Amino acid sequence: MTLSRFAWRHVWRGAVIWSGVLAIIVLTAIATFESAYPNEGSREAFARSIGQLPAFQALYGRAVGVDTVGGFLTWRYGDIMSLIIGLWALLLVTRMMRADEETGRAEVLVAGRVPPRRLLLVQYAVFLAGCALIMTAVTVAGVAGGLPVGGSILFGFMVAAGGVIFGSVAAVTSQLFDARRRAAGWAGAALGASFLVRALADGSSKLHSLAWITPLGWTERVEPFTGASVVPIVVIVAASGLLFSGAFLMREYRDTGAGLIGARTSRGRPRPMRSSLELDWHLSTGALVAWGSGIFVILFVLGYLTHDMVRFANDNPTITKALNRVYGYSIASPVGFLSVSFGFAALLLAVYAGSHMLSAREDEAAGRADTLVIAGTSRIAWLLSRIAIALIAIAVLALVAAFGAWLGASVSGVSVGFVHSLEASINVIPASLLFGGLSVLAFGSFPRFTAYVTFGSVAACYVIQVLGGLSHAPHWLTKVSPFAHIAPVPAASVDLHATLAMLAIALATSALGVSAFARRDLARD
Amino acid sequence: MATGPGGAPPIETRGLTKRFGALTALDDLTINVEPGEVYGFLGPNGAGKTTTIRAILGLAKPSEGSARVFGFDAWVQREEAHRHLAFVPGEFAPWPTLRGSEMLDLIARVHGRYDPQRRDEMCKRFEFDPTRRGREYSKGNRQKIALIAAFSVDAELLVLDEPTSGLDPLMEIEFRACVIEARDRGQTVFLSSHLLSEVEAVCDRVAILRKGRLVEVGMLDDLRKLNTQEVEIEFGSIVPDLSHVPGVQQLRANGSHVTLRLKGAPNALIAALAAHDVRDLDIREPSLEELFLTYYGDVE
Repeated sequence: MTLSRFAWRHVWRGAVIWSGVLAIIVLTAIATFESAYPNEGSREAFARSIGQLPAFQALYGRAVGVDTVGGFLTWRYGDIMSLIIGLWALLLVTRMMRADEETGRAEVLVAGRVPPRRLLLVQYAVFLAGCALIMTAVTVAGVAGGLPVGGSILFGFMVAAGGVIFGSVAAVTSQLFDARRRAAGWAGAALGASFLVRALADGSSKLHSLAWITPLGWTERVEPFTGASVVPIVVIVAASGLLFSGAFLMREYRDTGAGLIGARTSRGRPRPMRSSLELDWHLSTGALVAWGSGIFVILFVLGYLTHDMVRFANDNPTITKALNRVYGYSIASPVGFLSVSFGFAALLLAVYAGSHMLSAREDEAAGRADTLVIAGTSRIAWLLSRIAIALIAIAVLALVAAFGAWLGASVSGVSVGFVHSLEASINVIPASLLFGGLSVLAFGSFPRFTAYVTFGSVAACYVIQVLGGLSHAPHWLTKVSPFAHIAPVPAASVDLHATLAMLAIALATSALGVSAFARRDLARD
Repeated sequence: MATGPGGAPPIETRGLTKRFGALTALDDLTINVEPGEVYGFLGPNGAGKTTTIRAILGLAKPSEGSARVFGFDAWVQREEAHRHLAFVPGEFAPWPTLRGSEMLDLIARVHGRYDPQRRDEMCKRFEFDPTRRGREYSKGNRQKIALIAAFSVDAELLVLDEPTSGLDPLMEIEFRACVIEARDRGQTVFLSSHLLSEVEAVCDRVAILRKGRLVEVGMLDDLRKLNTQEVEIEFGSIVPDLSHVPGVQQLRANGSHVTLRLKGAPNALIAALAAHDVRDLDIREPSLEELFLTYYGDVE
């Protein structure tokens, strides 16, 4: 009992926050769809136009029955919500099952009378309880929004399933690796790969069957309001059970504090580092390579889908014309689709900017900031060097994204021009800097809330922007999100005012954050 | 080097106070550390030692009062102050992916003035393997990184915050030798500790902190009055009366089991015991908290 209460302390905050956020998203999405498409005719028109775009199927998932409220909700939000909860779950599970061992906190329990496997079992059970809370919140929101009870329950299950599966994956990686960062990194890579395969399966006409090899394909196939099939549910439960059983078995074959796969051995020559700038660069390269690979693959796949988009436009000239009127630019043309792809790249770069700055908080909490600051780095120099490396890293990632999208399109047989791709990429940088700036401000002013502010603002703004894709969404709400202010370059020209405003906000928030950091106490955890 | 820059004292606090919300962690602390001395800062866990040190290092802003390091305000002019000091925390956090040698190198280069030869010598003395990565080091080895780094830079002041946690007894002896050598080189040492024996072994002067307040500052001889030991004796057949033996206090007998507190040298007690059948004898140093309760009562 005490053990489960101990584990629950890790779980409850995130579970409660996400339950609330997801419930609000569900209610807002239902209301927005009903006001934007009030009658059968408008809903059918929507389903035949936007709902048929292969690229949108790649980004949001297979569009089934999107002329109904439930079908629309599942398509536009189901997949992204499973993804977000999956991310929450893998961060949470690696923190419970690995970070506590890294810091030695778990030893206190395991060295006492608690068998390691019982601790693992309790942690997993408590984590499942957190997922159940989220499922309940989503279900209740669906019913409150007027959707059928059975479908709402399945929809809640679909969203929570993303958490259960990737939490189980994280339980396995936590046994394999001795550092939380690596455990979370590999589980995150599994989540990214799963999204990518699902996007390929839904976006390309030839690869539909691939959806059955990816967990996000399973959650999609639950089809809560339109199909309600039992097979994917069985697959999800069985896969999670198998994964956790694997973790449970592995726990017996490793020491507390160690991973099944040994720590990286000390190979290679030591690298001399003379300043916090050189140190930050050295420490950032690993994550940069991982992010670079991920962004390259995702943009390559989106670029590759250009071919399907163009063919769709040729086959359906009427729909394409209607779409172009709604969006204000030719969304299914090669350059138009490039703009859409980089709208998604903007989200990835924003998350990178936030997580890069979050490492400052991690260093402070561990006491590594103390070491450098006392050795003679001024606090301002310490933080500025990290910001400088973030700027370089974002520039590198933007270049990689541009190259990936261009290469993908070229391979699929469509030429978009590398310069166009580069323009599209550079155009989304200011938005990511804005989120980086917010993160610096949070770190300077409310260090303990850096992670919440950073990822909360990115997630909220992205969801708002997706809502804004519907014509009748509240005007003021869409205007809040920086993502909504990114002009569809190269289909349209750069929105100079918005770009300058975003850069100004990024600069101001960073400056405020740096000066607040210089004036506050450094706090170890 | 001994007098430090500008002839100002290495550490000087005036009415230093730190509050965290309603909690006063440090209350009106005024101390003065002289150049070239080893200054002990003694107190039980939670007394406010680390809070004091974080204020001295400019990591935390005083709620009231001030701390100065060689005349530089520890908060406002912290960068100037840092140039003249080196620090060992109670729990050094290594960079998980950096090698020991990379960390030592980085800290030394960021500080600027260091002695690479002394560093190599320190690695040997502390039996430290600098080729491993941060996450592979045990608690004691992590501590050694911070100690080697601090002892090999040329800083006029060493600030050590319970630096020996996790070190084994042999390394503890090595550490004490290093402190004495640092003092002989002219460095000033500020050593915070909750171990009376450690402070007794190396310090010239001692400040005693309890519940955020300064209890006493004295020379080492003043500490002697704190030097008491807890003694437990298990007798065979006859239990002798020890109440008249010099230094014996708080004598309690429970059948053949006797406990007492011994002040000063144990000669007289050993002589008194020699004539009797002693089955078991245990002498241990009391915890600081036990001592403080005896000598200062409960300062609320």
